[in-house]
Amino acid sequence: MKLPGDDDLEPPPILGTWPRLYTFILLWLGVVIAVLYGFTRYFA
Amino acid sequence: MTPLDWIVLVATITGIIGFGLWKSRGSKSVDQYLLAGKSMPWYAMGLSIMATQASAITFIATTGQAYVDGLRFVQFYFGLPIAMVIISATAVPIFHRSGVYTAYEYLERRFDAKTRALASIVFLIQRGMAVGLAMYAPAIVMSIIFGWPDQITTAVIGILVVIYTTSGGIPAVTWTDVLQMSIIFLGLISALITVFALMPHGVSVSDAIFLAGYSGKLNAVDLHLDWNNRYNLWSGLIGGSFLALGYFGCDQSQVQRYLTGKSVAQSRLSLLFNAMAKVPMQFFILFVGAMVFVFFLFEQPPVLFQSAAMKTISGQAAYSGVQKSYDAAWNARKAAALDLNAARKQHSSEQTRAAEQKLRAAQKQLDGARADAAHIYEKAEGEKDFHDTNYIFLSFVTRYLPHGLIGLVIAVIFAAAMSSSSGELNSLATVTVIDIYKRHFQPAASDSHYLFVSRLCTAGWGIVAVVFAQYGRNLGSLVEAVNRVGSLFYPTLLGAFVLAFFFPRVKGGSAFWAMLFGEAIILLCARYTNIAFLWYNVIGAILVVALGIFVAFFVHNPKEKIKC
Repeated sequence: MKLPGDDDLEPPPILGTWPRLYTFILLWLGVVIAVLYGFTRYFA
Repeated sequence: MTPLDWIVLVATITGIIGFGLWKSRGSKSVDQYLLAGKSMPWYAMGLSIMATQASAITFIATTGQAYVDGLRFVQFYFGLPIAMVIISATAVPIFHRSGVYTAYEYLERRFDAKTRALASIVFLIQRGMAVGLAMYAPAIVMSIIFGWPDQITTAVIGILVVIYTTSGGIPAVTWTDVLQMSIIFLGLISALITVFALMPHGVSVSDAIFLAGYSGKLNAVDLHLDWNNRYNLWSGLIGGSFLALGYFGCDQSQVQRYLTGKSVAQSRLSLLFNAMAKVPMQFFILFVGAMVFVFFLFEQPPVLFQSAAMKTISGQAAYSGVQKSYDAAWNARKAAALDLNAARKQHSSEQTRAAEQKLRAAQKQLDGARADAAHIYEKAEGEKDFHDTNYIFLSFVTRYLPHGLIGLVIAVIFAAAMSSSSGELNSLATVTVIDIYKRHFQPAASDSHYLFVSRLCTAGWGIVAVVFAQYGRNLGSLVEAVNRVGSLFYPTLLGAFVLAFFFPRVKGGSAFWAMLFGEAIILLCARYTNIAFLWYNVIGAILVVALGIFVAFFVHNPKEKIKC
């Protein structure tokens, strides 16, 4: 799917393309939630 | 406060404001004053966006919330990274390329003047109230330290903020925020180190964390879906995403920050930086509050953390009974906490369970005594829903932190409140001037005239904020109050922007009526249902989009129905 900003010529400074950077951010969120869930379970 | 604290306080505030004004020198045009000449780098915008949210309210109220309610509030921010990705991919390039001053200016280009006016008015009402709460937060500091009434200190601080805000414009706001965020982190880390250092002999860092867990304060993630539970994984991911989409995508106080970017890429990076840092940062702030709770397992706090309320109830007949019950409960809780710590170290699961039950029972009794004390205060003062959540962290800071550090933390709170309020006032003035005054009353005046009116509007909104702030203490936890107010208005704005971006067939009239009906239904929901406020964002935004599509296809353009 083509997003409104896909034709932006300036790439992000890391990971080469914007969709890759967005995917990385969402994976980061998943990891943070998993770690916090583990933290909750461990100390409950 | 010793002379050392005063020196640190005055030097820090003067330094922050001075730095902001120095960086903003040369703001002589409307473009410079409102958009910083589109020259800001991503890190400045990113820290500024973060600082606007991490205001004095965050610093004071979030820690207090963790003390009372544990870490579960962190789930509120789970939707934020999702929203940041969506906004970066969609709204940022659209706003940048359309060359607008405000988000609502875009709505006129896409729809019509009345939709732009309605969105502007919704923003002005919502943000006008929120900025009042942001100003109220530092008044709490003054009421604890000096015993001054909240109302008077709010007015004094409001006047100072208005004077500061009118001079620098958004460049001053942004650069002030950059420095302020650095000092906030410094203050938080110092507070956490101090709270660990103040724990009694025999209670290590890991002991403190386990005690917080046994007390039910490390409840960061709750997988159970409950529509009436404010904070769980699902309300955070879904409701939080919608709220953050509304806040960062449609609220001028945030949109204006990333409109100051040099390019689309710089603006996107500022949002994605927030996407990565926000949840860990909020967890850290809440964690400080949970550790303050553990500290007070071993050091007896007052029944109520608000000193003025304590003075009021101590003269009441029922107080001595409540104080006795509170003392007994606190002593029982301390004993249970020590037993629990010892049992855990001996790996005795039976003793651990028994001590944990005693701890929880004592905590229940303690909470009951605190509730009774609050009732005495409410009865004496004729108030309803008294809360002292916002006073907990500051009570700890002023009593137990070393001198010098107290001044630093107070300075952080003041600077945070002042700079976030100034940013909000700046955006309120921008919308008033660009979307209302210039659009409807004076479309062809000179640049210097609009600059003058911008400063005038900043001062006017400052007065409105001060008046609203007078009601701040009746709104419970401040951080919740701000988000509750936002959840009443953001869904309408979000729905309008979703229609604008993704439904080209929907025109102005349809969007306008969808917004009006949507807002009415959200307000009815808030008045007559028990649905947790985060869900208003989901319900409201979907409702506005559905209504917009319905009106466009079935009322305004029935021929389209036939084509479909």
